[in-house]
Amino acid sequence: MTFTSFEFLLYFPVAVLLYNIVPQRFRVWYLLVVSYTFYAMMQPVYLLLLAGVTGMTYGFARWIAKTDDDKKRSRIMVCSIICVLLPLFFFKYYNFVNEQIAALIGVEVLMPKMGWMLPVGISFYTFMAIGYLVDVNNEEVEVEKNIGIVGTFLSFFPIVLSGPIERAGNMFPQFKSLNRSTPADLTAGAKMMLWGYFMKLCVADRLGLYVDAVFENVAHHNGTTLLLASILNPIRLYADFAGYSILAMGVARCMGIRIIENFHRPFFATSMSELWHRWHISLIKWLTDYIYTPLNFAFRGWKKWGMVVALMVTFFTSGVWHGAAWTYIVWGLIHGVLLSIETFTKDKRANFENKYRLVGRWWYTAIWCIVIFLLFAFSQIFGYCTDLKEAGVVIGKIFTDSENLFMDQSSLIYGGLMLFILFLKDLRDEFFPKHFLCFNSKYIVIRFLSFIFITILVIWCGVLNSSQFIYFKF
Amino acid sequence: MKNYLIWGIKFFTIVVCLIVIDWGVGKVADFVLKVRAEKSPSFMENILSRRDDVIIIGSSTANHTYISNEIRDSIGLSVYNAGRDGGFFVYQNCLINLILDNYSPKYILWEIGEHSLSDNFGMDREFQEETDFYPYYSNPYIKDVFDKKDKYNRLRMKSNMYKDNSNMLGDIYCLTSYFVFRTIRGEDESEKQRLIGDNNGFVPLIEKENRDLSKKRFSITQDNINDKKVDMLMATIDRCRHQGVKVVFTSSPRYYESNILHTKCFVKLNEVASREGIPYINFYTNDKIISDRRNFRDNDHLYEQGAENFMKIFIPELKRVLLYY
Repeated sequence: MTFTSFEFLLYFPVAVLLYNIVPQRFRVWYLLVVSYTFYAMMQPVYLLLLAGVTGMTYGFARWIAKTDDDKKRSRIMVCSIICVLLPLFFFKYYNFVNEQIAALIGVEVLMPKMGWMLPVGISFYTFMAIGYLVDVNNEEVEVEKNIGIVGTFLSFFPIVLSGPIERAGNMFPQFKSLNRSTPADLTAGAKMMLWGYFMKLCVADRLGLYVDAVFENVAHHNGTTLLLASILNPIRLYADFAGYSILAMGVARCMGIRIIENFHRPFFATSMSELWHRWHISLIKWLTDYIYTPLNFAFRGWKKWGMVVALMVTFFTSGVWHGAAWTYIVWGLIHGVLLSIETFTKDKRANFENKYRLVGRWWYTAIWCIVIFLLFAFSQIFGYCTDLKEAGVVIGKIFTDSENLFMDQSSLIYGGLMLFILFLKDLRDEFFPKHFLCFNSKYIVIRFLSFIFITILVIWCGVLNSSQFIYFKF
Repeated sequence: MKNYLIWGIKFFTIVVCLIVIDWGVGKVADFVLKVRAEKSPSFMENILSRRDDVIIIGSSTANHTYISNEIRDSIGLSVYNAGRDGGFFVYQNCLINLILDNYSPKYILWEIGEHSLSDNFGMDREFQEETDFYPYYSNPYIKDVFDKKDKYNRLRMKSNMYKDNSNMLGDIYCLTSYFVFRTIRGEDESEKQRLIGDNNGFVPLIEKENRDLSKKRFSITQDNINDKKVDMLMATIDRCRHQGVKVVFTSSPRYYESNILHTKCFVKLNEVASREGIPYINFYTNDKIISDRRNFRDNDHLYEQGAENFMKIFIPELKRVLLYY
């Protein structure tokens, strides 16, 4: 059962109703049961893994908190991180590492290949567990003695499958005082869910029909078609990931729980660093707090080169987190390089902009938005292709093989219209936040018409056969 | 409590508005479909309006392989290629039954393959082009198939907007093209070729340079039979027999290793054909075509030249079969 399945639409209102009926002191346990049921409906056996990671995290966190000696605490923390990472390594990276080592030393792979399905959400809840352990060690968060709260934190059904990667500091206080949903919560939650469904079903899945059809047959498409698919791919990714995140926010908000915003109109960024403050915010915050900042501090003597090393390691980690393949690693390294270039050119760019008074000029902003978008789209070619060779073929064809465009009118017409609506909404949010309000208009008629219009678009133009969120493979 | 009540009333108002709009959409959709069927028919409308002696049924492999005009010229009967990209086994059964509701062709050439009865070929793919059938949901066969798709589909199909999902804009686009530009538009290039070309449904695949095409090996462990598909096949065969329609199974060449013929699916298809007295023209691993990989666009589809080469060996065999059938 995913958020876009029909069953979810039937069961969720019942879950919210029961949440509000259950006495407050039992609500966190109720959420735990609902979250585990939700997970079990997808992969029942891996529930044991989730429970196991939860138990380890809970136990290690309490051990760390009980230990006074700083060095011993650090050792326990490192040990706990290794233990929590082991399942992730085993299920996600074992085959890749096995093959790469064998290829490196030139022998046949003797260890058996693992053919088990990747547990859904393992990358997300593992990072959340690690974040909690580090926060306890650094005394940024008080250790939680109620295993129900820790269990609910790691398995919370709106976020367990595909994030956002939440922090204990944000979630634990909310889980400790779970109040009834207010009408404002239900309204805000429903609005977010409706918009999330629109982004996911009408924009992402619709564009995805075209993008997938092209990228799954790279050999048979020309450079022009591959170029269009490469440009549509990041938009589709944004609509898919951000749509899911907004759905998750809405689902949680219906129960009065607020989770972190994960995307903030990334394609209006005018620099790579700004893009990474707007794209998958929860992941980049996690990487910044637990990898980049400590490394940057450790290498502070190297000045800008220290930042470069920290950036490269951080984005290497990001690439590896996204998938066990060289394409993801190259994708991560591309971003590391681009951000490193920005680090060195930041001052020059600022001087240039000040000299010619370019900051705030709409055309200058538009140019940079387009440049950053194209760089991001280029990197996503590696994110999508199955191997480096295929990525090379795509890039080569884009620059050398221009013929007639492959058109799928249905996907492009529907997708284009829906994308236009999404663009208008994001443009309004970015530059005119107090104008042209629809969902939040002070006039009830406009609000109602907006809700009805978007609902009609979802039912009429959404891709309503079942489809998986791309992030599930993480 | 009062705030919750107000919230509930607002939510209920929106739901009622949506129900009323849904009803209205149904009425508009009926009208648009009627106009479109006359002026710029869809794939389904086009096929269901025809009365050919021979109908070729299958997915994209059928659509891009069987040259209707060449078959027509050889056997002296009218032929139409109703193969549909993405139209797999369940789709094919629905299409045959819709055709049989309209008339009884003399022959149905049914392109089958290793996916036809396979349990591992996901139901999502089987229902890939399901929106083609939404306008025909009132048909008892279609309704039965779609209501059994999953336990909630019957509920979803109560919505007119859901039934019109992904169709309305296309219908409006085609009608606009007709009335404003005086041109026929299909949903895509192959559809357009089908509507305005004179190939009687056959859509040739234009040859391009073939790179990195190697034979696929089918893993026998992946192959399980779906009993519901077998039941569906038997019911369709029975209906054809009842209406005096002769079914011929065919399998066109694919770029696979020959172990594919030993899969449970092919064994079952042979068994059904033998038991029901249905001729089965199987060229799946025919050396004459497979020996030259330039015939193939990919492992499953022939280029136009490949299709022509295949017709040279298929048509004599078809004539021989029809002579004694």
